[in-house]
Amino acid sequence: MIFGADHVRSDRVLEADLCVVGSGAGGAPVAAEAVAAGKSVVVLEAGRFWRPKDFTQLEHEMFPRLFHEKGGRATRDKAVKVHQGKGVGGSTLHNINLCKPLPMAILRHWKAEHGLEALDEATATALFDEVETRLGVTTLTDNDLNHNNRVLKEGAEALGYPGGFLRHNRTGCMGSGFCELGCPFDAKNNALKVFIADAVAGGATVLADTWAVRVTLDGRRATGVEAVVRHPDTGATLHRVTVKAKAVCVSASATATPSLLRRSGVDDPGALIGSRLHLHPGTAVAAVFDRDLDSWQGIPQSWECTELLDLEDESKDLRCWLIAAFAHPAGVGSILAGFGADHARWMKDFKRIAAISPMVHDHTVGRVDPRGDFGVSIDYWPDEADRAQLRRGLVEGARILLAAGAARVVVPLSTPVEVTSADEVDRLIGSIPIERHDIDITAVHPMSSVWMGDDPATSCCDSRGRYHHADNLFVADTSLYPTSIGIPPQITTYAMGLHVGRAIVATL
Amino acid sequence: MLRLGFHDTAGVDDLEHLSAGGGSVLRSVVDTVLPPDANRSREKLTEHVRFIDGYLVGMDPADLAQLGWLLFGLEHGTILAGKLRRFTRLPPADRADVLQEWRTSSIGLRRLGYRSLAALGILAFYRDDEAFATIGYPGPLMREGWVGPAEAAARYDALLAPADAEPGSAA
Ligand SMILES: Cc1cc2nc3c(=O)[nH]c(=O)nc-3n(C[C@H](O)[C@H](O)[C@H](O)COP(=O)(O)OP(=O)(O)OC[C@H]3O[C@@H](n4cnc5c(N)ncnc54)[C@H](O)[C@@H]3O)c2cc1C
Ligand code: SF4
Repeated sequence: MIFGADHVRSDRVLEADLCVVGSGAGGAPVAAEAVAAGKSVVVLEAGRFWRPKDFTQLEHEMFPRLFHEKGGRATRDKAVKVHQGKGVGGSTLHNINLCKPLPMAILRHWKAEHGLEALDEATATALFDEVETRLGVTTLTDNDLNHNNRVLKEGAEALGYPGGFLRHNRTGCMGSGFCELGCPFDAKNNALKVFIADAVAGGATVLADTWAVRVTLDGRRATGVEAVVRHPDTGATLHRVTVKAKAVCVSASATATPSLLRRSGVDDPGALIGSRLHLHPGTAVAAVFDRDLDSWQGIPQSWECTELLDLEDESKDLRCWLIAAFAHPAGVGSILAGFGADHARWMKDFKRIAAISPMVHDHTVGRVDPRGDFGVSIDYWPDEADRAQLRRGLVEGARILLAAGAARVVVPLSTPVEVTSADEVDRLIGSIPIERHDIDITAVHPMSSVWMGDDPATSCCDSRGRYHHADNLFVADTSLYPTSIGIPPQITTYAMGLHVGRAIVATL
Repeated sequence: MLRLGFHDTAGVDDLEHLSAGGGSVLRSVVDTVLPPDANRSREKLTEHVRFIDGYLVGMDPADLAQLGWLLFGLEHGTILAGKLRRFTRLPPADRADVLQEWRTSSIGLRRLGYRSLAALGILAFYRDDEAFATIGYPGPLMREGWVGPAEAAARYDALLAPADAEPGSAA
């Protein structure tokens, strides 16, 4: 069953074969696998248990419910926003459902650098197929394009740029466009609907509103997790929860997992934990058309442009993915427009705006440290090469928007750069500075902070997710990747969840 | 929380997270950030400030303190934008000059300050049909309550433990 803060009326002790921290794309399949193998499982989840009727489609209500720090999480200097979800189901509650498995070129690169003896191409491919089947992933078609995505497709095609329809895990989607605020229509085949539901049906106990504070250790052995139940609004500590478990799997995301491990004082001889964070950062270029687009409506991201992305051939240095990007009024208003009359001028065209986001397969290495008992402290700013990729993405995004018929294009710097013809793009956008607090840089795919590899001297976990320096402590989330993967990570994360879950079961 | 003194704090003198002075500065910020509207009442602005104050619940105390300092700096740093009066005492056009100076400042922290305050104002503004109507946005689809699939409601309800259940055993 799923319990929330209301159910916990005193300090509690629970015992289980496995304690999983975090119920998102990584943790949910771990729990489901262990339950399917007949193991007893307790899942601790910091966020609430939200049901479809709780998704009100209002930004000011849903940001606090579904996002850590109410959507305000950012790097320490607040120059890069880092959106991460919370709630039973983790970031899959509000994500956009786009499904891309790990590119094999990235896996080959990882294997060359780190071995990964338990993860060959055949194993990975079989895992991706299994995940896609369980999540009901299908390829979208022309009928699924909303106006923003049609603009991207038509503009890219006019310029001869490659691209294609994306695959998504949705069933019965009515194209309301509110995905990033949670789906009231239960159309998302996400971690909650698919894996947590299976785990609970098989007897798992899920504690929502419950924050793991530290993994307890007896020498090399993880013995469980100490946690607290917190008030969902105020964050006040209500009660303590102790889980005694034969194995612990930390799946709290690429920021919270390393923070929890560090807070727990696990052995880390190379001081590696948290030291290799990638964020897959993105920004946005927008345009006003002379016709209504209502870009907030319909499936938000159905088509991709790969003109600037080649993950197979590194020598080309094409690391920028172009995708439609739109949000609801507060989201768009705070990124795009200035204030007062300037704001009104842009927002009066809200119905006619389309936007494209370049996202960079980053080489920049950041780090994440614990902040207090519950928080994370992220240090990251894209290096010059990654900023150049972002700039290139803005240039090509602007070209695409103009090719699709935009009347004017804007790069929303503090002093916005406006362009009305393709001839001006290189001159006006090709050399823009990308400076802290001058442009919106947002990351929704943090990864690679507790990465896997065969050598304990150069990696944190083995390729079954087992932490190298403890016997029965595992990691299963985006932390595990040795590098950025250059694409959205949910499919790879679900797959790693199954893979690690099976490895854990084999040890119990 | 900082006390700013000599403010018109009516309506914001009992905020939970901001001081009355901070609330008063924030009210002037919100007034400047939002699309111009001659009919916007002071009560409406106060209501936006109270919403923002409520939104701050659970915020990290260090971040909350920073917000207090930010409002203090805005109120008393107007001289840097060539203004001789405090932010809350400036006429609207001069307040806009000050925010524009922050927005385009060569100092990153000032740009950050502007961005943080503007984002709060914008979040507070786009909450209701009146604001949505100004941009032709229809707002949420479900106005008369939830109309999702009943089967799904039952399926999710079945996952939730009964109200009187408690997990594990007492410590
Ligand atoms: C706006 C947005 C859109 C996205 N769209 C897509 C998309 O279309 N396609 C795609 O592939 N990916 C997308 N992603 C990314 C994808 O959702 C994530 O990469 C994926 O969910 C990560 O899985 P995870 O298990 O690492 O973390 P999460 O899914 O974030 O789960 C981690 C969970 O751990 C919990 N937790 C954290 N700390 C603690 C603690 N101390 N104690 C207990 N619990 C804790 C969190 O509350 C959270 O629920 C999107 C992300 C965002 C933010
Ligand atoms: S677009 Fe589809 S998946 Fe997204 S919220 Fe609407 S119905 Fe749900």
